[in-house]
This record gives sequence, structure tokens and C-alpha cells, in this order.
Amino acid sequence: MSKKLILGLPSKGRLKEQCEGWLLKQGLKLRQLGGDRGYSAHLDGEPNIDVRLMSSSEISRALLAGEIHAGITGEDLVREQSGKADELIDFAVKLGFGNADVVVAVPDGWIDVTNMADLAEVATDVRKSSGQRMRIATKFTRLTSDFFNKCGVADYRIVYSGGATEGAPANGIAEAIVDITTSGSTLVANNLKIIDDGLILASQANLMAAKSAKWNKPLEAEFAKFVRNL
Amino acid sequence: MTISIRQEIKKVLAPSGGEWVDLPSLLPASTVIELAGEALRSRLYFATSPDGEELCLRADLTIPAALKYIESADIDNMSATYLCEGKVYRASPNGEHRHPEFTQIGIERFGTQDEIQTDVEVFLSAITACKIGEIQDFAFEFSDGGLIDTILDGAFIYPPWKEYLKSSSKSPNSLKRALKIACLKDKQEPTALETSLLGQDDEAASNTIEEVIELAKLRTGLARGPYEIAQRLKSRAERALAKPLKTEIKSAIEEILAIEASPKKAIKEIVKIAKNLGVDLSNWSKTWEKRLAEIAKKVPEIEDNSRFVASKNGRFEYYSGFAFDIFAKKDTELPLATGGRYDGLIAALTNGGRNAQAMGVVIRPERLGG
Repeated sequence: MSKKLILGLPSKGRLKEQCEGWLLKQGLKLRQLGGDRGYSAHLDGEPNIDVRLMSSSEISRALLAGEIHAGITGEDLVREQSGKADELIDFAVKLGFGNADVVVAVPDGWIDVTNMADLAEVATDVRKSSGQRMRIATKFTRLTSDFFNKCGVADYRIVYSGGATEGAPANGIAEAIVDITTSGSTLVANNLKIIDDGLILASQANLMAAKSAKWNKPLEAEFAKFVRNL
Repeated sequence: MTISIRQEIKKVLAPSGGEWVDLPSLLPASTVIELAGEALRSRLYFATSPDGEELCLRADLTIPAALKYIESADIDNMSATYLCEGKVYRASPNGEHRHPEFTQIGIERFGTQDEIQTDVEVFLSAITACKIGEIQDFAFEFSDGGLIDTILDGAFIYPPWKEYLKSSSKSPNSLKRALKIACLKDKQEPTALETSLLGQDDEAASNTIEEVIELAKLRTGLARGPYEIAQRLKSRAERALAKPLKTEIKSAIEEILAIEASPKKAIKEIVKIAKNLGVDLSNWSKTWEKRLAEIAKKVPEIEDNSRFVASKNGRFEYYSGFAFDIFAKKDTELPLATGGRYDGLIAALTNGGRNAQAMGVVIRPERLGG
């Protein structure tokens, strides 16, 4: 068992910068070993914390698997990767950055669609007229499936889209999408509108603890101290 | 023990004719989900082919058997009987902890001519197979995947509501929600645009919507355009202006959905309620009575140990008629065998390109005491 608290932090991009800035505000300087491209680091003044720099989705996966004790990543990634997120993860601190909404969006020319009940009817119409279910392009298959089920949308199927999802309706790949947005401007630029009650998750970066990681009293105390000092 | 039970089941099923077939374990995920719906996704196990196609492990034997039939049958409704055995893979629903892979042994009959005879033969094969194990006392549940559609088709219901209710006919919970909405007295008034569309033919209505969209500098995407939007706005306006669905109709349909009684009693009750809706179900009831009488010749206890429900939540949508579950009398939660008629499955898999009557059953050998 590791004697140090293993903390996963984002290794690149905007989330890494925001994370570093936030740590600095807490009086914690992140020192990357091996320069900007190194993947191990430590926090000045925190010798009992072993920092691992990882991609955001890898942090999420490692937290769910209990391979690291704690980490900072987006709530959307964790909830998408597991249906048992609340059982496996302690969402300890909401950090106020990395805000991103997972939303349902449809072409803005669909003037007959404003809410999920409309979308449910449209899905049924599409299936009746084409013999095929309405297609939703997304990489958030679990979140979409759970949300659509809750909203009573049945006649749809998911088309996996790993990128450029906003282009799917214009390209004929899907009728509508579920995607992440911060300001909504990319959706607007692609002639898409967010459905009124189509907010699936208002996500932000969280400091999370893995409930299934190997914990002992000193590690629990270390994490409690880390949270307390924030 | 389990192996000998499986062999015995296979012996029982084989005399009904047919060929033992190997069915693929990996299926195109899009085919399975298109058919069963996204609600099944969380219970499927996925894989990716080397060329990137998303695949899933089969969650039942019926879909791969139907795909095999489509490949091999040269003409519509060609007769074929498949006997099949194999593992299927399905995660438990949330909160349950059942083993995700289990064996099914089944018969799938396609292109059958005599509907009642086939239904009875398949059911009797299933009950004979179930008797192979330690369990000898059984309970039966019957339902009819086509009944609600038959009632909605025949009932005197104003067209906007008929179409609206039919779109929810396969799920009792959805149908109850739709009935509630249809009976609402305070409906949102149609917009001026919607009202104007009501006076226009389809082409003119489509042109109007196209113009509105262009003026507002909006886009519709490739898959659904002005025509479809106009059609929906028109039907929404028709529903908004239509009188609410009579509460008696709502109550009658809800009453039918709530029926859970011995088959004779349930069928009699359903016929009576349907008559009040203007639907003559005498042929439907005669078919069921004949079916049950044929079954009773071999299984005399059938009426006393059976219940009939009009429609079931959670059943695959492709069941289109006679459907049944066989349980151990002391455990009516987990069926030993599940079967039914799915005449629309071949058409659904081929987008209407092919047709065949179909009826099948699968048996769960490990639940038979093995």
C-alpha cells in the first residue's frame, strides 16, 4: 500500500492551467518533474502527497477503479464512465472552474421543438415515417440514455461521436446531439439550439476521493487535512 | 446435472422438427439497439471489430435467429424451424445482481401457416421441457402483444388522439401517460402559425414553414425538414383544438391494462370493456379460447394456474401477439421459459423489405434445478 496520498491532476490543457492557478491560490505550488512535458510532480510543502499528471478521462477511470486516492477532474467524465459514480466516488469539493454543461441540442430550424416532450414526439414521428429510430450523436452514451429514459424518449438510438459532434445534424449523421458546452457559442455557430429542459448535467471540476482505493488512517488524515486547508 | 438437463431439453425439443443451428454471438450493436431500443444499452456488453464497427454480445437468441433466417430464406414466409442453444449476455437491471451470462435453449419457427397450431405446439414443447427438471408445479402468465393496438384501431376515438395513443401502445406506462395528456381540459392554444397551417395542404404547409425558417436564418439539418415540421405542427394544432379524450375511454383502457386474472375471466372481461368502446373482439377471444382449449388437452391445470395480462412493461416491442411465461409455482418472478409471437420482427430487421410469421420460445436450463 502506498504510504503517500496519490493525487491525480490534469496533465494538459485549460483544465491543467485552471487547476494550477487554483492550487496557487491555496498556497500550493505544483512542481512538474522533467519540465512541462513530465508526468510526475509534487506540491511544495506536501511531502506526503504523490502527484500524478494524467489526462482528465484517465483520472476519472483511475478514481472509479480505486487506483488513485484522489483527483481533480470533471464530474461529467466520472458520471459518464460509471452508473455507480455516487457509490464509488466522494465528490469532496466543487472547485468552481472547468464549468461545462452536458445538453441536448437540436437544429434551430426545428421550430416545433422546445422541450423534451416535443423531442419524444419527434422521435416517434421519425421512427414511424422512416422505420428507423431518431439518431442522437454523442460521446455521452450513458448520460444520454439515462436522461432520455427519465424524460420518456423511447424511439431514438445513439450514434457515437468522438468529435465535431455539432456538425452531425448538418451532415445528416444524426437528427440531434448531446454535447458539452460552456457558452453555447459553438452550438449557435452550427445552427443548433439547446432544448429548454435539456440540461443533462451542469458539470464542473471537482476534487474527488476514490472510495474503493486502499485507504488507511494516515492517508485519510492526509486527505482530510488537504481538504481542510482549501 | 446441468449438462444432463440440457441434453434432455434438447431431446424434448428435437421431435418438433427443425435443424440445430449455431448462431453468432457477436451482432452489430446498431441492429440490436435499433430493434430493442436504447433502454437495453446499459444491459449490453460491447466490443469493437478490427474495422471499427461497434458490436455487442447477443442478449437473446431470437434476434440472431431472425438474422440467420433473413440470410437463408429466399422468399417471404418461407418455412424454417431453428433449434438453438447457447450463452446469452445481459447485465442485470440496476439493483439486481444476477449472473450476466446464462444459457438459453430455444425453438424459433418462421413462416408458419397455422397460427394457433404453431402457438400451441411451441407452448407444449416448452412446458414438456420445463418438466424435465425437479420443478413439477408451474404457474403461467399469458399476454397479447397486439391486443392494445387492436383495441385502439377499432375504438371510436377522434383521429388526433388515436394516432397519439397508438404511438405509446407498446408500453403500458407510456400509454397511461398519453391517456392522461389526451384527457386534459386546459390545453395550450395553437399558435397563429399552427392555425394557419391547418387550412393548407401538405405542400403549401411545407412551403410556409420553409419560408419562416429561411426568414429567421435558421437551419433544419439534413434528416428532418420543413415538411416533417409542418406535419407535426398541424397535428399538434389538431390535438389542441380537438375535444379532450372522453374520460370513459381513458378509464376503459386503464381498466384493460389493470386486468390480471385467470385467462377465461380476463378475456371475458376484456371483450366486455372493448364492446363498450365499440370494438368487437369476438374473433380475438375465439382464437384465444381455441388456443387455451388445445393447451388444456395436454395441460389440464392450465386455467387454474394461469393469469392473463393485456400488456406488459419491459417486454421487447417485437412481440406482436400470443406471449407467455412459464414460472415455478413457488417463484413467479424469474421465468423458466419465455415465448411468443413476433410476426413483425423480420420486417423490422429489413426495414419492411421482408416478411415472415414467427413464433419462438427460450428455456433457461439452470433454473430447472440443474
